[in-house]
Amino acid sequence: MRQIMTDERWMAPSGPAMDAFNVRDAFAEHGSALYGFAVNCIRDPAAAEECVQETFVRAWRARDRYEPAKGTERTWLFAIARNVIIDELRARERRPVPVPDARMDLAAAPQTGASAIEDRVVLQSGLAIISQEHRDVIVSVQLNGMSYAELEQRTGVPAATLRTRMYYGLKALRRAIGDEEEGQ
Amino acid sequence: MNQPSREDELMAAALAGGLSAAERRELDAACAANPALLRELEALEGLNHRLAESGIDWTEHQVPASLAGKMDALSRELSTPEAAVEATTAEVSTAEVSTAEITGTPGVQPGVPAGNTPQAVGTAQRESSRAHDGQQHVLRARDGGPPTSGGRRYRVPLLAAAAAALLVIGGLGGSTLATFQQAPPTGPPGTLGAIEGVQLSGSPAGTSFDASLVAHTWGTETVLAIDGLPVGESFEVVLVRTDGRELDSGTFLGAAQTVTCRMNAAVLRGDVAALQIRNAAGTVVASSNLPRV
Repeated sequence: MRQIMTDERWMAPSGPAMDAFNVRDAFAEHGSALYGFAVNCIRDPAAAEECVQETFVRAWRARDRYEPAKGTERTWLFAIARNVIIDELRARERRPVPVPDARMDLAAAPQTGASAIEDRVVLQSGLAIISQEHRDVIVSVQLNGMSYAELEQRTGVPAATLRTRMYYGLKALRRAIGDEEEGQ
Repeated sequence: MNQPSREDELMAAALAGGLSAAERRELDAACAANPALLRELEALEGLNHRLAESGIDWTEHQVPASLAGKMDALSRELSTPEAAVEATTAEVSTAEVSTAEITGTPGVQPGVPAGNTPQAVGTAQRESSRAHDGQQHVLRARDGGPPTSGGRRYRVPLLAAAAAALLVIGGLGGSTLATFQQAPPTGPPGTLGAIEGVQLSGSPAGTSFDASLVAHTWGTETVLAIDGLPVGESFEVVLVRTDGRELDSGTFLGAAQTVTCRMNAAVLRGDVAALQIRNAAGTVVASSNLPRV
């Protein structure tokens, strides 16, 4: 089973402190990606907002344990956010969710169980981390089933360029996921 | 942007399933000469498969103004001295929770004070405990390492106290003392981290509301357990400030089961005058005027 790297693993017992961690600056830089990550995983904007807030509260409380040598601030925040989101999704699995929204089917239908949740969250975090240009082509082709010809028609970008963009995007996604999985 | 290499073009075409026979032979030859290329191709094909099987979706979203506002308030609150006070309180609380985990005391929920058993209180405390889970999570990690900063200078005494508590708990059979030790902060309304029970009035017949507030340095948390509201109908939780302004804490749907929810608003408890539950038409269905703190 794919393990999840906890936020603590980024924190060496005696690592240098990140006294300069500033919630306002960190949110300005990473908040959009973190919110996109959270809302795409949970499909509940209010809960996603709570998860983002919780991520920054946890990060602030752990700020003196962050070790830059083990990863960027962005990667560290995403590791924390992933734990927060997995907690939220597991809690939702344990209680009925009276939301008649077709999108909620996503959380229940394709796979169930802790490892499935974790795998989806890992992939979503990778998508949130890579560039929008790469994400667009991966989402359109791999997730939405669009052909390169259709995507070319929609975007005006030649199919050959889109295929190369897909290749680079998948490499970036693999790196983004690999960054996190190295900590296992 | 640099032009893709020939290898990149072939890899991209292979991943897209668009290789001609000649290109396939060319890629095979490249992979034979460079096994790392083949491994990468297999890994990326595996990632493609993983994406397809995951069932995930992605939609681009902008940060909502409500979140930006809450984060602005949060960043301001975390820069206050009170934030440091709450962090210290959390450290003490964490040591106590860790002690209970070590002893494995059955039937005791972290954060549940002795003698409090009603559902609303239990729910509120579970949720409050969950709200503090992050700091507990992190602080437990701190237990494993030597003190390195001023904030951790309490760690050694706390561990010593926890060890002593273990001996006492073992000797006494434990549950009463363990329960006492796990008590969250208590105090009058406005005490950081304490559960403040709220009596809602005006509830429609057949409904019940168990409500609590928790004051934090970054805002006010509302914890609700609701029964009896029409299934599927939307209700809004609103905190009314002392200056009359209103803050939407969140929305929930009526359900056949008990609805439990925890909502946050970026307003300090001292600035909150009332808690209201409103239906979709904006009509207040239950409310409470809160004591000033």
